[in-house]
Amino acid sequence: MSITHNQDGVFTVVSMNGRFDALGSRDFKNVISLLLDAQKKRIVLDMAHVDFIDSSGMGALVGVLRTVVKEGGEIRIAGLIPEVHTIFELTRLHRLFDIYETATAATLEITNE
Amino acid sequence: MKERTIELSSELESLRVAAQFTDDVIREILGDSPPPQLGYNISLAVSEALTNAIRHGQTGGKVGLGFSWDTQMVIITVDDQGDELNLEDISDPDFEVAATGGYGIYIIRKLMDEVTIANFPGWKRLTMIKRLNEGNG
Repeated sequence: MSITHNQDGVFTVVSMNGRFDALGSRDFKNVISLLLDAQKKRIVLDMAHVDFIDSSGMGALVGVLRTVVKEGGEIRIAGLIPEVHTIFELTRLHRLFDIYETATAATLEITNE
Repeated sequence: MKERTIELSSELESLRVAAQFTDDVIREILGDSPPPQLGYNISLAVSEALTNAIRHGQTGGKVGLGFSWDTQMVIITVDDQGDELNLEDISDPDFEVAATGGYGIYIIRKLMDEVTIANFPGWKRLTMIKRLNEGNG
């Protein structure tokens, strides 16, 4: 999985591309850790180009969500393709996340912290 | 029945090779335009089974992935050299806790039509059967 990020207002948009499995999870957790070190705690995960996720990827998302929230930040998820959205529902973890249609929609809604 | 098998090192890096192998076999089974959710579900069940096999298998050992199929069903086997495991000992995850792990067998059970584990001295085989009748996602 390739991961890039850029700043859009108060949000850091993390764009992920490829397969989010146990291997991708390692890279993902490293990137989020670096962002938190840089005090970038309001994060949008643009998953429009994630064509596959398994429970290792889901576990990484849950772990990162907990860490970010604990540090006073937030995670928003955007752009899930239908097949990927299915596993969010299968594991019932969709209830945990704020999920948006697109990364643009996710960054437009500003909440006061 | 047609068959394809691959043997891999028991390490997470093998997931890449296994994913490509699985995609190729799915195309062979379902054609170049497989029903999206069916192809995805097979790929997902394989990923869950292989990740478990690697994580709980023998470090430095091998894992095996096999497909056999006809027009009615696909049978997927995942072999590893890890400890004995019995499906009846594995309960569904506690969804209220939102755990970071423990979903693998639950997902496999949800997506596949039949799931069994056979334990042998020094290795075990997880067998997953998916029927290919119309409308089966």
